[in-house]
Amino acid sequence: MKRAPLIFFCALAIFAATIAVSRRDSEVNETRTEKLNVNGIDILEIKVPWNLQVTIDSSVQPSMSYTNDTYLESNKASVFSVRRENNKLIITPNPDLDAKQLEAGERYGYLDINMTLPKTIRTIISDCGVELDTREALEDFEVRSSDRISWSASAKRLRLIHSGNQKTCEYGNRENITVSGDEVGELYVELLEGEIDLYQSEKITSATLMTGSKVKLTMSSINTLKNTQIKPIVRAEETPALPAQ
Amino acid sequence: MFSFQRFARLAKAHWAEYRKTYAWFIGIGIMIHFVLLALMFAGSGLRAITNDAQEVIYYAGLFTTAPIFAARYFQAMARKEAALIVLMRPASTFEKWLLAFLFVAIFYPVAYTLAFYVCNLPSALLAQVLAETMSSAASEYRVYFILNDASPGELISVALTLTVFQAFGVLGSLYFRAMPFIKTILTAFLVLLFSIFLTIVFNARPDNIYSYWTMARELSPAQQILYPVMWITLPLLLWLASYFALKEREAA
Repeated sequence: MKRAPLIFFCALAIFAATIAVSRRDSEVNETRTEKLNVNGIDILEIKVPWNLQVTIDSSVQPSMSYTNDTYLESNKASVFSVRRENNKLIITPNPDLDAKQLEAGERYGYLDINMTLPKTIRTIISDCGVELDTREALEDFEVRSSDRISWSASAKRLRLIHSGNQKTCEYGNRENITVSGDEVGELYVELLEGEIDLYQSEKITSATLMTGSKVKLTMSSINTLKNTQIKPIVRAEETPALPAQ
Repeated sequence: MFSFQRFARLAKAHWAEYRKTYAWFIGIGIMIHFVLLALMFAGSGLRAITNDAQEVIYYAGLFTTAPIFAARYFQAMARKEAALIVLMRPASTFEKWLLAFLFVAIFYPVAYTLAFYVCNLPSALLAQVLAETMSSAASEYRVYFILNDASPGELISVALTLTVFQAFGVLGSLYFRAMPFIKTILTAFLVLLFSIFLTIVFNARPDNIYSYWTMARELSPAQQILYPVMWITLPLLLWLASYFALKEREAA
């Protein structure tokens, strides 16, 4: 037989064998869930380059789950490190795994983090996008992020603060704030650049929008304008956080 | 087996004979890119020229045209009288193969990248200026540059995948004597079907193989051996097969 086709079939055999073994280890659980101790905690700070989906539900155990798809699949250690500082819970990437990842000279994989938290948490500070959804009526709530903030819940006083595009996210930071869902009493939004979408603005009692000159605003009802104040932005660092209860 | 003077003469002769063809090939690529940009501009204006869109155009163009360029390198071999001229050139098989490798695997990606910027740079810079004046994030509109925007792992994946496609194109053009272009495409299609079949049968994850250079994963022992072996040997074997295919054509 000629050598060219022979070598080609050798290459094809190696390719086929590699595909055959690329099957995932069936023992690897693709979703991990870790319990969170949030007693005495009212501020959650999460310093990871992935999006965060939060459900406020006081009836279930606070937890964090993530799809362990692309990050050290069969590693037994947690992807995250959790520590407390007074009334604040700080979540960062596990430094050991982080070092291993950096040693490989590669970027992170992608994780979707889902959190279930009680309504005693009143402030979420995140490096990446935050989507918050709940059926519970909240009192005061504040979300600070340097990526997209999406709010779909009711609150008496709500502060959504975009802390500027700081390139903290794995797949780029977005600059928009979306408010939809139920009733919001006093809404306070800070955004220097990007888009503010108030999809059910008729359900907002009053809104203060601190914006830069390049912000695009969308409202579902023109009537909301009566109760809306639009002011030029003050630097985000100068904005005081909500006082702890 | 290898004489530098003879190789240089072969390279000069090849360049003299094919430079116009290559210029046309690159020129047509530039024209298609301009048309594509014009269509995007007509649809959404310069705002469509985001960094991501530039990246998609770059890779789509590279992975479409590079295998075609590779498959056309030995196009003369498809015609009996022209094949004789190519085969009778005073150079060894290795020199002819090496020249093909240099043109296909080195020269073409560099030329493509330079040609890409002929179209991309003005449009991307305009989009960037526009983004700065509009309420858009300027970072989304920065000029795409592969060495800046791709990680080292991504660059390795792209380079190895591309050279596999190119070697496959060259091999097909040498192995098939009649209608090599169509038969190479048909063979590629059969390999694709075979891969899909294997993926289904073994419940495989080919994306895991592709992300070998970009993700720090925990791999099974078999994967630890076969992934790097495949990535390294596949291009080597295909280029080696194309060398032997050329040699077998000369012997025939």
